[in-house]
Amino acid sequence: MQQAENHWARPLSWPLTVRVPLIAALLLIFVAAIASERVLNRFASIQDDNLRGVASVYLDSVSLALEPFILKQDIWGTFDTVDRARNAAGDLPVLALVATDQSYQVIAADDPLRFPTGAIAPAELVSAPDIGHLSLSYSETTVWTQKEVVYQGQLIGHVMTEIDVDNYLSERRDALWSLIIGNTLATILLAGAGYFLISRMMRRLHILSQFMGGHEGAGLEEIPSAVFPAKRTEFASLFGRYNELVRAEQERREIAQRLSDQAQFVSLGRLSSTLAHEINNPLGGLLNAVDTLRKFKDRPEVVETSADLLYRGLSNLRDVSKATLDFARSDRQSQTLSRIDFDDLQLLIEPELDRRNQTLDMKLSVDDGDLKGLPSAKVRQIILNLLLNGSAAAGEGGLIGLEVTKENGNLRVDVSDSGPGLPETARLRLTVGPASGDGSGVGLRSVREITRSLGGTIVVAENAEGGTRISLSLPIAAGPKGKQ
Amino acid sequence: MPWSRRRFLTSATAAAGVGIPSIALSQEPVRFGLTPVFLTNDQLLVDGLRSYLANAMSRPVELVFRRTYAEITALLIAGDLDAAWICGYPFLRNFQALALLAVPTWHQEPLYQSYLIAGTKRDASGLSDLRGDLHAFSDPDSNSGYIVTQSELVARNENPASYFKRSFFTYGHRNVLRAVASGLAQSGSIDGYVWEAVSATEPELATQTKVIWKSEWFGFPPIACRRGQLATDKVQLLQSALTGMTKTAGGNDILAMLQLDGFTVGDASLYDGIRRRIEILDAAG
Repeated sequence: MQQAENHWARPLSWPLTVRVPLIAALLLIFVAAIASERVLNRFASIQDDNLRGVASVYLDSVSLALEPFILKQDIWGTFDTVDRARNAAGDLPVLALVATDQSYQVIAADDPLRFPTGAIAPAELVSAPDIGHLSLSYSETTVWTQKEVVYQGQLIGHVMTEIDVDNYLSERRDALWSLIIGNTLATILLAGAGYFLISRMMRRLHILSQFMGGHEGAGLEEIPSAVFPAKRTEFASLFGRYNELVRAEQERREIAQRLSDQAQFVSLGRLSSTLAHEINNPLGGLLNAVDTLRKFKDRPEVVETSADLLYRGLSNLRDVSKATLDFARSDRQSQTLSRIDFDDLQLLIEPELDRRNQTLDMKLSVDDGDLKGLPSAKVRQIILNLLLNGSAAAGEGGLIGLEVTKENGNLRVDVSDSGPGLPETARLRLTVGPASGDGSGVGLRSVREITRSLGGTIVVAENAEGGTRISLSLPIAAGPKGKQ
Repeated sequence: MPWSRRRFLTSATAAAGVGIPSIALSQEPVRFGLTPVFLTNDQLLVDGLRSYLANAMSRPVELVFRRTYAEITALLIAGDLDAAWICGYPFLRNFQALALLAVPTWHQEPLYQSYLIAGTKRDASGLSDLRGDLHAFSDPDSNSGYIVTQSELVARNENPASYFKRSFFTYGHRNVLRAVASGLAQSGSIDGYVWEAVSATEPELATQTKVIWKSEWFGFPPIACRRGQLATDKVQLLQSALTGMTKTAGGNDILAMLQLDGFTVGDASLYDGIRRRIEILDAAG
């Protein structure tokens, strides 16, 4: 869900069905822009040629008619000619016509109020390009052009005309718009077709993706044959391989589940043997006390002492059985971890320690507030397994260490022993690799599985003074996170 | 200046002395000269005038057009034309050679005025406001379109050559109106009769100008013939045809187009006003 929030802000995360047609559309727009630019340039140059041609014919005839009047500086003759020529321009939309002498002094213009006789022509007219250099720009709706009037090889004057080129420009705008509209439609059509084709292809991948990602926690599901592509395509074989993978994964999960169940039984088995030992040991003493009570039932001090002995012995048996019961009880599964659990662990491991004459050095640097984020049963199972392993490794008279601290929001559990060190096979079982058939292997493997399910990590290290230190780090804040 | 013009006209006559032989009728055609200076070159009017005169005289009529009064006057004096509609000024300048055949009547009088006109928006009310203008004249031989303004400047002790910044001839009274209306010229000298006639037929053109000064009354531009020809049948027929124009429907159509009342024989004394203007100019040299 987090991905979806800024999904559209990052183009690289867009679906292929969008990206491919979009890239195709961008390429098409790029090509269309270049092609349109060429077309418009060519069109503009044709228009320029056309305008130059029409204007050239017109100014040639006007200058020929004006020649005698300009030669004589005949104001009226010049005016009469430009006035009539202005109205006889045919297809050329002439806005103004001005005749000047060779030094650009106006002899007459069709609109004398705008260009008075005798005035010097405005700079705009003087600098107007001759017809050969006339070209249109998009910004000007009118253009000026001029032609020299030559009589017997002598420059006698100039004739200038202002032409309304709005028609030409609107033709250009029309061409531009039809190109834009045509290209846009073509682009939309092709992008749409691209989207359609790619999304048809991507639908298969989408099905696969849904089956792969849509069943978190519940395991993977096989793709039903109804959804399979009709033909034997790459997708059909891909789906088939996926289904094989799913079946293999399901088998693996079932095996893992069985192993995990076995681990529980193995721990219980080991516990019950120590429990029988623990119960059996005081039983001899308790039976002796009962005999003593029978023998000396008239001696109150002996009865008192024997009754006390019986009470202590039976209390100890009750505690041991309660701790064992708690370990296996199903309603403990949902309870959270607390310091009491560590007292229970101590109680449970004690018979094993006594048997080997071992010492447990337990340091609890946490309170219940720190512990309540973790499930009691699972953590107890992990630590009990590690302690039993440590006890087995430490040997006669060995030293076992349990240290529980809080570190960076994680609960850190260090279990150390003074044994000869963890064999490589056991280390692998604890970190990677399959479980072996024997009990200890199953124990370490269940430690690994449970730790992972709690989102924790395991580090195995050699102690400086010999022995092994196994460090667990369990996140306190939340329960299970995404599986690795 | 007038004498040099006369010498020019004589030489021009020698150069242009060509006639067009008539093939329409067996009789020699009456050749009648006109200029667009006064008349607008309206083909309907020209055709109507020709057919009216031909009918009235029972003779073929050839209308001869030239651009200027000078050209037509030269043709007339040289004998290439039987009669011509010219201006009072060339008539007086060639008084020894020419005789008065007929004078048009306008508003019941054989008289007209010269007008000075300017653009409607122009803040001017007389000749004194026109100093430094670009001024349009109609023809160097036109009384109303040149001589009156020039002589008026002389009479006001102004130098006619430098009073206007620049001036030009349009060779047509209507062209003077166009030049002023378009803004090509800031002011113009025009035949008052033409301005009034155009006001009636093309008000959109005339209303772009306003009359800022009117001269005294002068004899209307006359139809003249060579003095020696006045008594000939051909010229007498022409005179009758002109003075009798009001008597026929065709003639009245022509008069309506010309916006004239008719033609009268008239007297040379009508042109005394123009003579006085010429004297002012000649006195100034």
